[in-house]
Amino acid sequence: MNTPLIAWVCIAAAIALLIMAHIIKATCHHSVHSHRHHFIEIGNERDEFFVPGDPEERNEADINDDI
Amino acid sequence: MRQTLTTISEPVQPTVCKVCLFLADYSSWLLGCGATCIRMEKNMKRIAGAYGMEVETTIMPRHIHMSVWRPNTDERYTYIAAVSHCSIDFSINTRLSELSWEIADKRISFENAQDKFEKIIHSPKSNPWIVLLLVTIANASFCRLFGGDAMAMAVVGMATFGGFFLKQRLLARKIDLRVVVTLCAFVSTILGATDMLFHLGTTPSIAIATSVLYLVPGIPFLNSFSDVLYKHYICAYSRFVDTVVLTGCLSIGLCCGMAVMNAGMF
Amino acid sequence: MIAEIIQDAFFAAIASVGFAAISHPPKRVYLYCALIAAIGHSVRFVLMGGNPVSMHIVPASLLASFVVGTLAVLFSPLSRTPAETCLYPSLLPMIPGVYAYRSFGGLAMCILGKNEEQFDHYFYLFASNGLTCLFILAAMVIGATLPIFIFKKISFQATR
Repeated sequence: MNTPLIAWVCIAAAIALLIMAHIIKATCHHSVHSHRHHFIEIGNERDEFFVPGDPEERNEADINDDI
Repeated sequence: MRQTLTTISEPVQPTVCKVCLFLADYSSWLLGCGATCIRMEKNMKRIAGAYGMEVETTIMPRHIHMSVWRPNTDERYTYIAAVSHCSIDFSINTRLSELSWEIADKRISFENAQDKFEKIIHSPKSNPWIVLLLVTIANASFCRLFGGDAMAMAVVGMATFGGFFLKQRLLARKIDLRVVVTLCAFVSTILGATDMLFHLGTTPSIAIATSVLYLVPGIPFLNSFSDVLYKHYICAYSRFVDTVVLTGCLSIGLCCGMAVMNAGMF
Repeated sequence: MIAEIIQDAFFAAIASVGFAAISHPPKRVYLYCALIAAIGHSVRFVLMGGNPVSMHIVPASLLASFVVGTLAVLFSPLSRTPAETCLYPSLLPMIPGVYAYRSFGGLAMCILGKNEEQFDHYFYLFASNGLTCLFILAAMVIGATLPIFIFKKISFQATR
């Protein structure tokens, strides 16, 4: 058994994995924060029935649809 | 001292109690971020003097005991503050020293001083990736200073990158510094032995010996000897024991790494 | 010889900046740290180099750190930082880290030693490395602090 080689491979692989995992996690975290949008969201009634050209004022009735 | 001759004349002077509590936080952070005892004493006396008060302190290993009073009155307040457990940060150290001069010279109000203090201690830390890169390059250069060749420098750079990255991640998870130093020394030694394992360069022993040097607690070592010069023996002793324990942990990690890699220290 | 001195100064400057980064000094200090460390470390290199003088590491560290301390005190009003903010990072390349952990290594081997001869040898290594480390540190701090005493007014009013 070549103990030094096995130890070296294990430690080097573990550290490389740790670094890669951290980079991937940081990238995902960054992209989520930069978009500020979830992949699936529930829109309000106004969004669903909006036709381009409609006035943009909010109606009182829409307020509770924002949830 | 000049700052004790004149005092800040606000409509409402802060009470002795408020100044004492402010000085408790101030000194706890200043000592925690690596200031020497003499610097801390001078800054505290400067601030207290600006508000027409005097202060005396006893600096213990983990606590600061202080008494603040207004001369010629009965107003007196004593408090024991725990030393803040922040890492060494010369930026905070510098800005807290600047704050003491602002209070003494620019006559900023007590509330303003408190706001500034809060801002200083909550200031953002430097980017960990940049620190990681700088430490990697620094340790590789250190290897060169010890006579390592280009391959040894590259190996030490890699070992430092891996070890210091691990240190940052483990410290972020609030793991005890002694455990972190032992683990990082072990990992850096194993990675530093790459040169020896694959017969890459001509100075493999220098690569192993210098791969862990970024873990040596240099500034606490210097601080402890500096405290001896100013007769703060208890604080000096406690800082020295801290550094000896950390160096011991480093050595345990290094010896284990060397034993696994079949390398000898001497 | 001059090429070696320049090389020593260059790598000491890089080492100083990198190790300073761990203790997060203000950004304006890095340049001064690099400059002071380069001069300090090359002074020690020359003093220990054997040409024209060949000093022991302890007095060489004392003189080099005195140079470092003087420069740090003189530069501290320029960088508007306390003297130790410039001083300690510049001293970091001279910290006897190898001596420090070798003394622990010697201690470990001395305990594990199988006979008196081995014990004596490793105890010698432990004591010599440990004492050298302690004396280098003491010399460095004394050398670097003397200028703070000499130029007391400059060093404690730098952040004013």
